[in-house]
Amino acid sequence: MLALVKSYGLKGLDGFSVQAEIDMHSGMPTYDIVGLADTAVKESKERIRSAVKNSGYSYPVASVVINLAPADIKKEGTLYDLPIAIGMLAASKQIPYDTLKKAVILGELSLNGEVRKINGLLPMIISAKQQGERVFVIPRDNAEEAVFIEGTEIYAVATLSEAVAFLTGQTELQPLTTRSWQNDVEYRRGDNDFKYIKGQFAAKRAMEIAVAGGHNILMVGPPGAGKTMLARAVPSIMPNLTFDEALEVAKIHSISGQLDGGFIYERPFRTPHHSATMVALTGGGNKARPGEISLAHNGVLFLDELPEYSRQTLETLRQPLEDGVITVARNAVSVTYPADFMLIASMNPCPCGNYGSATAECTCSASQIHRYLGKLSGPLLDRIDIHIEVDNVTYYDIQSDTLAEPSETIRKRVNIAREKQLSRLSGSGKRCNAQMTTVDIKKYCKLDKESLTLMEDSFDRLNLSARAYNRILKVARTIADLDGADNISVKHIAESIQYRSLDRKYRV
Amino acid sequence: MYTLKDKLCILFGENGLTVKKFFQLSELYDTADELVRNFDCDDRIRSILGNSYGVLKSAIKKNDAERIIFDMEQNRIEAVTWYSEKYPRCLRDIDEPPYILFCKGDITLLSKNCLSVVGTRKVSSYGRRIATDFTRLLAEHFVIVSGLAYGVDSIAHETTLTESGLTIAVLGSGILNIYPPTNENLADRILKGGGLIISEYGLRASPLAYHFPHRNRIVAGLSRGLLVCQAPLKSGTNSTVELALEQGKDVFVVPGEIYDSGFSGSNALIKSMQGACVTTPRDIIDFYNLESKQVENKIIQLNFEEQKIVDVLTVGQKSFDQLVCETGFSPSDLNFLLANLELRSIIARLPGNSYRIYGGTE
Repeated sequence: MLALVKSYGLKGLDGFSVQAEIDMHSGMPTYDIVGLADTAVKESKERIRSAVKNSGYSYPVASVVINLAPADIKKEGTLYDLPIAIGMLAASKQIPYDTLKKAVILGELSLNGEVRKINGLLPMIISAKQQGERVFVIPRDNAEEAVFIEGTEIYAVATLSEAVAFLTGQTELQPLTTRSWQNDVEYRRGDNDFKYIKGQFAAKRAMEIAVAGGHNILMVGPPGAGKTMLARAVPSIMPNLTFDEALEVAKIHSISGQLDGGFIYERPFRTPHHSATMVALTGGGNKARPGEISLAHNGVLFLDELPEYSRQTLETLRQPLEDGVITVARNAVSVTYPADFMLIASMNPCPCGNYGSATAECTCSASQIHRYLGKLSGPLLDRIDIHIEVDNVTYYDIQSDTLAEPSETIRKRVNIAREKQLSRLSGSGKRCNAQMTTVDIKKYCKLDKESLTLMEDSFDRLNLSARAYNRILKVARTIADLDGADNISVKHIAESIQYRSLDRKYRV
Repeated sequence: MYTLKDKLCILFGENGLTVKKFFQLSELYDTADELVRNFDCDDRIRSILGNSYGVLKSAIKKNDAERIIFDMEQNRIEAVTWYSEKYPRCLRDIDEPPYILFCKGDITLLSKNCLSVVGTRKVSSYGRRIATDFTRLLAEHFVIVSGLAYGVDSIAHETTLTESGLTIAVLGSGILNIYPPTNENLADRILKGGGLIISEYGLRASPLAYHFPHRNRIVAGLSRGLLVCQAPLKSGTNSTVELALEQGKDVFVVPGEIYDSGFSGSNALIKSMQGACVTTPRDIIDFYNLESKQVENKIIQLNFEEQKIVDVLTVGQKSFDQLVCETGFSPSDLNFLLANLELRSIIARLPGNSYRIYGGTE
């Protein structure tokens, strides 16, 4: 007998409907899966056999053929275990087929008949809902992912027999109660709060500006200066994730299996090690998985020790930094993942790390320093608006008991500045000052006479490079927004100039 | 126009003939014409030149000098030879005077009042400060001569340029092959600022290791005195000092901390009394009885906030954090004030986001 069961598949971030067709006829006991199934799907045979037996059913002695339609798209993963097992029970007439509820079934089976967690559940449910599906049976461990999806009936099951009992109508299950989105992230934020960072006033101010304007930032400082600590605290001053943003982030994390049974409430903070390959960073592999930059979408990508990354790896960041998306093309698939992140990079000022430090003398030769700094290409530095030097905190700072300004307060200022930018840039599809084009800069960054003179003076006196010009204007715009000012004044320009350390040719 | 003698100098210079051999050769005949005519047959020439004989012979045959002169003109390079009137007098008296100087820029600087500022390539922040502060004042009175190397040399050139002074860079490589390459930009700016770049080596000569100590005799020779900003015990600076002393030039040394190995050479010079110990640029200006140009009585107007910062910095170098703590200004205000003060050359920003008063502590 033939049984048809609905399931789903995933291509990039979008799902597609899959129909598992299970046919059984008498003959030599065989088990064949067709429909471009990968190894994980093919191995389902052994899992299903044990799960079916251990759940109190009998494994049919018959020739079994399974087709995953549409047959020309690759299927991967373990999520077809549950639909195939149920289809097989129906086809072998152990459970009634006519009364089987027509639900979309997703889930991996363990040998003892339990239903296990799968990857990519969230994007599949969202796609399926858009295509008109209403009823879903999913693993209980994944339930938290789907808790914000409204307008559907989602049933979470823990075992094969529970799924069968529900689908055949023997028992009633309560559908998942959905929650409305409420970002209660406050109490989740732990130690990574700005109030615990002593001193570092310059760096903290620079971080505030960077977050307010969506600027990428580079910290230069000796080892142990607290660069990593500063970076880790950055998500705490970013605006709360909106539901749409959170959904995008959760989808990507769901595909990578990094949701850990929950949902995403906090902005992601990703720190790939500098030995990371290009593929690990941008995404790819034969399944075109999302990389670190997509996992950092709507959050922070922190590259510690920037010059240690291979040149090639860093150069691949240039395009996503500009576009906010990355297209991963592999022989079978081409997928576009969002990759709109804030880049925070850190580096030492020289190979020994002590150049310019107040406490230790640098032992590097000039050519060593030149070589070290030369690892960063101009085009990459071009996409980093703010450079800031971070020096070691003094003992005086560390032992003081006073807490610094909490992230909460800073975030409020950031939110106000962001709103200003949104209303100014509305209609252009841009959200923050960092995204302004040359045309926008001309339009929104008008300078008065005093500021113009200051700009001229500083280019003459401070040996600023030409590419610094637009960066200074953009950052000055953000500083003005934080200040609540409509126009950029000389004060904003002056502060903005302070954030171009690497352009300054005072390094001899 | 170049005379035949000049052309021979250019030819020899381009082919790297040593100074010793050049002068031995020049003693053989009275005129260049005779030398050229007898080049093929005179065994004395052959024995002086040794291995380089063949190369030079064919170069003369091919009339290579014209090609080199064309190349020079294309790159606006001038040659000042031993036989030229423009040859600086101060170099005539030194040991092994260069018989040729390839020059780019204003060659009248060669006969001006020059002072050399030298020191190690590995400069500490204290050495950097010395080089900046001393050069800044000395550039008003002297043409600053240095070697376009990393460290003190670069700082000396760079500071002279910011003070709109004149500077001469003496290279250890060809003029069209600036070494270190990262200083090409600095070399361009020296020329734009009315300075001069000279080298006794062929136009595209490689920066061979022995060139550098050798060119130091020109650095010392061009100037009245030599200022050592920072020298460890083993440093090229010591060779320059020795040459300057041989040439009877004045050597000035700024002392360093006795435990700092980066200054062990400087302090040794003071201890052995080879160099005069100086602690302000004024010491050197007074030594030469120069009228101090005190026209720069710029009345510096500071508002209340700026005065507060300057007061804190008068005590010594401070980091940004310390400034925030000691002045009580918010980081954003402080950034604004610091940028302003820096633009007016009242304070200087150091690597590592630290600040200090610009110039000496007088």
